[in-house]
Amino acid sequence: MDSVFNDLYEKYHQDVFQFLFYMVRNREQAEDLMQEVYIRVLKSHQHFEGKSSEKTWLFSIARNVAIDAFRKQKGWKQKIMEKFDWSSQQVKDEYPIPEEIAIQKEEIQLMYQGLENCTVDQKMVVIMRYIQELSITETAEALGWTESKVKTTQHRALKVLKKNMEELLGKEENTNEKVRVERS
Amino acid sequence: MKKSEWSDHELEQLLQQMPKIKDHRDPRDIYQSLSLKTKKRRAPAWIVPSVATLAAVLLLFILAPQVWQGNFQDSALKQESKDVLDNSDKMEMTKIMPDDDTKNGISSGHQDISIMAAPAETAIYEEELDEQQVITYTIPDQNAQIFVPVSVLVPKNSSWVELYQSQAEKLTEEQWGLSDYFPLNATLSMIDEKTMNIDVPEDHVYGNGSANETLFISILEETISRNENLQKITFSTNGNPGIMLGNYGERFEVNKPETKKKSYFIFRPNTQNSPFIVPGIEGFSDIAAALESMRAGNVTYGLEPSIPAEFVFDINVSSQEQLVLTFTGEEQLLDESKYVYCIEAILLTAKEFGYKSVKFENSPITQIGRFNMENEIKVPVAPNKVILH
Repeated sequence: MDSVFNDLYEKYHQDVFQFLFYMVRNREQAEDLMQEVYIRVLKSHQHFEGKSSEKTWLFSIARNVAIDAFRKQKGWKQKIMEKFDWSSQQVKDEYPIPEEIAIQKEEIQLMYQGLENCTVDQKMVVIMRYIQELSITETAEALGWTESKVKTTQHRALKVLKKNMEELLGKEENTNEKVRVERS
Repeated sequence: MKKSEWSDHELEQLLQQMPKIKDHRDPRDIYQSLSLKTKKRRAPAWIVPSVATLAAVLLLFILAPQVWQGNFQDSALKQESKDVLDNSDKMEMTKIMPDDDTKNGISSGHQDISIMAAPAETAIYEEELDEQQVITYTIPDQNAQIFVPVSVLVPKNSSWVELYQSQAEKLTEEQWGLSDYFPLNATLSMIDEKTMNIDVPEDHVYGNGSANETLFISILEETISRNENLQKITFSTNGNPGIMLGNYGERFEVNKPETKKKSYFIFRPNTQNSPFIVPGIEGFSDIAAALESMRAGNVTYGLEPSIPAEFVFDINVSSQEQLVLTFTGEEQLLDESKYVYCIEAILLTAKEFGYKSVKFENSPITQIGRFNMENEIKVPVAPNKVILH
């Protein structure tokens, strides 16, 4: 096995995989994208200049792979179909809540769902900063942003996330109440 | 749900509690599928269709001419024959004067004749000089019997001797049906204004046999008399004065020969080209005899008559400068190249006898080629103009 692959696998595989998983919210797709990350990494590893740390370099590749995947998913066909199929616009989460999340407490599930409705940028920052526990500097390097952009996006992301979670909670309580009313 | 309000801090903590997601696959499996994928990528999807397209286009190119051959054969043949004609035209162009007789043969119908360019002259005339000078080469024919004077126009500003040598490299003697003689295998230089030195290498071939020697000396004599700026040619061999020529012994110089007055004839060494107008073998002391010889030609040497039988005139020698010829014939003359050559041959012969111009009286036609038959016609500067490329 390639020594570069081995090295990278040992150090970063699970981290990058987790990032991709939370980005695309699906294990199979995350596995595919992980493959893509390795292909790009091995192709350009000799050009890796050590300007940034290996870790942020790997994350920046993962980020590009994820963004490309989103673009591909939204091919021109889907874009046209969306225009005519209003019902599909309501449906947001294409995949069911994964097992790993489903067994967690309610708040975590709520947060997972709330993340769905954040923008890609917001999602990336939140995942990198809190789930991967990267520093602001590392996040900025991985995303190719300035640190202040990371900070403002992170701030905005938390607000959106909170709003999303509250909305989701409100809906849930409504249905709960309805159920209660019907029962009484 | 117990809580409906989260602080940022609580959110952050909650995020940190998000479950760690692991990839359970074996790294070896990942690597294997990875190398499979990278290999697969070597042949992108577009290669197969594009190869197929290329093959189809190639087939089209190969097959199309055969499919349409029936339709195109005729025009292709026409094109081909046209090309051949073009080629022969080109050959004429590289040569000297376009031969209008052959052009007539090719073009059919009277209309073509009417739009045809006027028959072209062969010599160089004063009007053409225009800040240029003339170099006349004397080129032997393939039997080394006839010397064909061939003239080129060159810029005046350059040195004559340099041009003489450099232009000589461009002469296409063999294409004209003559023998390849120039450039001389020698270094040429001017010693003074009227004397040219020819420096030959020690292994020169100009002394190999009496024929060679005679030819060499004759050509040089001819060169001196044809080029006004030369009076004398001196020899040196590898820098040392003199040249060894078997029968002559050692020669040091060639002087301007006594001019033999010659008449001019039509010479066609290559029937595809226009003819040369060349001096004959004999010399004459009397212009009337010289002109008379031109009606006969010289079969032995392949010289055609230059004055056609119907071109009849009386000779009227009234002054030293002008020769007057009065037509006495009954026949109508045409504006044709054979009469242009005839007039040129007369002019060149008149020049040999020292006349500056020729006047035709009682001409049945006003214009032949470039010549206005009603005015006096100046003799040419040099015979047989060629344009070198």
